[in-house]
Amino acid sequence: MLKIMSFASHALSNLFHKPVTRNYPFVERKYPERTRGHIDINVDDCLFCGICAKKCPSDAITVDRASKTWSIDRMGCVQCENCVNSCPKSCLTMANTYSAPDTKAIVDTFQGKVEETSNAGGKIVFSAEGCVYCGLCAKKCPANAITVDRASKTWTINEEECAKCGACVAACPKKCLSQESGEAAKATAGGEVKNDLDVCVFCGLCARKCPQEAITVDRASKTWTINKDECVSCGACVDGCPKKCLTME
Amino acid sequence: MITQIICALLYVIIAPFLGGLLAGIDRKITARMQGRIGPSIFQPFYDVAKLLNKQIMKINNMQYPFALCFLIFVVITGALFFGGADILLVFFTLTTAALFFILEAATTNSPFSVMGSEREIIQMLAYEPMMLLVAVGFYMANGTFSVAEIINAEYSSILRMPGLFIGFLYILTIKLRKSPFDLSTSHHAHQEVVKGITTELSGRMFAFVEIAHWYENVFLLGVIGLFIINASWWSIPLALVVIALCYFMEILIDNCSARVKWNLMFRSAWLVTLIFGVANIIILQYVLK
Amino acid sequence: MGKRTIVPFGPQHPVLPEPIHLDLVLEDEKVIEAIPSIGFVHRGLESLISKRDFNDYLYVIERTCGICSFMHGMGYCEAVERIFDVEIPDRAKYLRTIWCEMSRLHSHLLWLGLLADAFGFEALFYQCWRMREKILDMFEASTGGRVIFSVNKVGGVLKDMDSAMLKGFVAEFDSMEADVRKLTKVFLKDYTVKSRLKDVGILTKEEAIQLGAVGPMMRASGIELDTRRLGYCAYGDLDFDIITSNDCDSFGRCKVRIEEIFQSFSLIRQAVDKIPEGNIVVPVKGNPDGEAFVRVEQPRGEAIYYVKANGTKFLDRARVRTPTFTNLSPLIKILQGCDYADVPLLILTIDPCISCTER
Repeated sequence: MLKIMSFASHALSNLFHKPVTRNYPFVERKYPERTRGHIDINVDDCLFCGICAKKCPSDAITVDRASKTWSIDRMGCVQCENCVNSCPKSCLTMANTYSAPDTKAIVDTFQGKVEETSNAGGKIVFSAEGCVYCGLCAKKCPANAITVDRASKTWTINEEECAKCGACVAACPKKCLSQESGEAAKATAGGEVKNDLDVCVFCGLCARKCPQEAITVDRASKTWTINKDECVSCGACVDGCPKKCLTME
Repeated sequence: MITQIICALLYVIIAPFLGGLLAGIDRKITARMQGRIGPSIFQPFYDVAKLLNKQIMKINNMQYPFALCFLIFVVITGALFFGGADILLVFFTLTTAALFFILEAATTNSPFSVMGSEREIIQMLAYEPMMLLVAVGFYMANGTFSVAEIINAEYSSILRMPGLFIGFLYILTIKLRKSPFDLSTSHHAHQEVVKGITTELSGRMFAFVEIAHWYENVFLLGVIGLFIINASWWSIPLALVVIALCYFMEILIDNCSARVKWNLMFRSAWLVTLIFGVANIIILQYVLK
Repeated sequence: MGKRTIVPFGPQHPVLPEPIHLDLVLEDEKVIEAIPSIGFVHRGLESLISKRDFNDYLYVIERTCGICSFMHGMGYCEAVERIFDVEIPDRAKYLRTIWCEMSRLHSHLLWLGLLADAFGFEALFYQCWRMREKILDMFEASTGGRVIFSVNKVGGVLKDMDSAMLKGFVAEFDSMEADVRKLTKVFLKDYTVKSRLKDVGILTKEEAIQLGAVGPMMRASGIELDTRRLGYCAYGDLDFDIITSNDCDSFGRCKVRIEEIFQSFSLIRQAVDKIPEGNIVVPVKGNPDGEAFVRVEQPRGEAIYYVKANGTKFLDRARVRTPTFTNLSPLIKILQGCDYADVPLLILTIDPCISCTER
């Protein structure tokens, strides 16, 4: 049997019903609660640890620890929510509205409070006394910086990875972890780096450790120079010096 | 004679606006049948206005003259028809216009455009017999080829030629480039031949072809009216109603069928011509004599 | 022999949803030969594995494709989970199954729409896509994304669906099923549609095996094979038959996909009935070491994920064998000797996903 026009009932019913399309952009759409629209930050809680920037698959986030700024390239962001899920302070949230379209890339920068002390604490201090090597701290660590081996009873922390967020301290059931206060951390950091040239062997380790590449060491001419404008007084060179000739004032 | 010239002039002036509006309504109804809001009914005018201001990319020197000839001959076709001239002459002028359109596409080197023109020839082969039979039918039913005299007949022509009317509606789908027979070019470019016969048109040249189609559509709907109109005044509103219904049916068919291949189109068009057209002619010849 | 012309078909052609290039050797309107070339949307996603933490790479791999993004993410997660040898919670398995089947639904509805568009049936195309729109809305409500879902995680899923949400979805699917059933008549019974699908693009069973067809393309040639039978996710607990057809033509492929839509409805209903309570994620610590090989039945056919890890957080290799890639050789076969008018239709019957193929 020749069956033609079988779509006619659909077409006619569509004709006499309201259209299903929306008059974009004049009629707003209601987004569900879970819609991944854009990233919001509560910058006051932010540690500027940079985990979000590291986790971001499209490198849309830039975190500057020194100037305490957190910025996001709105058009580079792929809304995967990875940063929100990995933020140790839960200061990132996903809002269900999209950032407005534009003809050029929009970079939103958020400035943290500069004058106040850092939200970040100091180093994590471990006391083997009382530790049961349960591994809760490692589980909680957002940066995967802690490794706990129950068999060999070892607890190690990767200082470079550690964001000093204190999540492990809060999680520890035996209270064997503590954190140096932010002030103390600030005291060791800050100030000027001095070199006792009599002791120095000009090995160049400090220059290699320096995150800002502020130090230049020339073994041939036995010179050690530091660019004070570049130096952020992090103390990495002091910690790295094998001869302990570097000091922070 | 004066009224005939006025009618022809009125067609030349009003038809593009009417045709454009018709296209706009067509797009709106189509959109609603597809569940969309659709564009404003004046959208075709905006489109053509924009095209008129765009640069023409001429493929060769002959393309533009051919496209213009298409427009001119379509306008002549309609003017002759609404001026009350010979229906046979009208149909042949329309064929001439279509030939120029085919030549326009055939002169280009684009495979899509050339393929579109080849398909247009097949389409012409499919609908021409029916067109001729319709002209012959009008003569046999009213004893004249003159449109001016046909509309002054005592009875509507459709009463004597219902089969030819059905046949004409069938080929109208081909002429209006509606699915399932939008082979040479369709209203959207989602086709293997892209926009087929109109692929290589651009700017003002494309706008003229578009306007020519508006003229053509008004003329084709006028032919439907010719089936209805008789000497009494009420036949004119009746004709308008029939035209509206037929056009709506065309839109519905457009939205309810897939694009068929050329051989099916060809076969079915000739079959319809044979069954409805030839049978109607035979009845006119031997039964209603 | 008629005059031969070569028509460059793609990479930019209005009927193609994605960039693939075919040089079609035509004799009048018959296609004598089709020479494909690909490589227009290569983005180098696989090589990013050496630059991203294996956890974060998930967000890269699921961007392989916009239709089966969930399954790409899931296939990768399953492979890494297999290296870690972790068993994800049952609830996560069921949630994955539900999202998989929703992906299949939206992919097949999308395909039906594109098919309708390929044979010039615009209204039918819109009708299919508005149904797909509802599924996208459900995805957005449950995962937060309409196209890229980002709910997978090595060790489970990130978001849960509560029973109210699941019940709402099932009710929505019930009404959708009735709509699809009505549309089925248009696809399988309408004269003009049938004239375009029947006996077009015949791929026999032997050819399907020889040329390595997968998915509905293979099942429409009468081969009974479905990777879901392996029982990954929760498929082992669910009851379903493998849908095949012996038509071997475009009509058969259309029929198989339509029936798979109904199968997906049934699978979702079963999964919602059986879904257990519990956790949705298990923590996975450390770095993977070893290699794994996972097969997943995507809407387009079987996809293979191969992951090789070296004990660091950066993996050595993550490779995807996409269904479209293997379906390209059958496509070239069915294009030989077809009508030019059928080319868009035949390209669509393999349900091509070029961005998957080229990654």
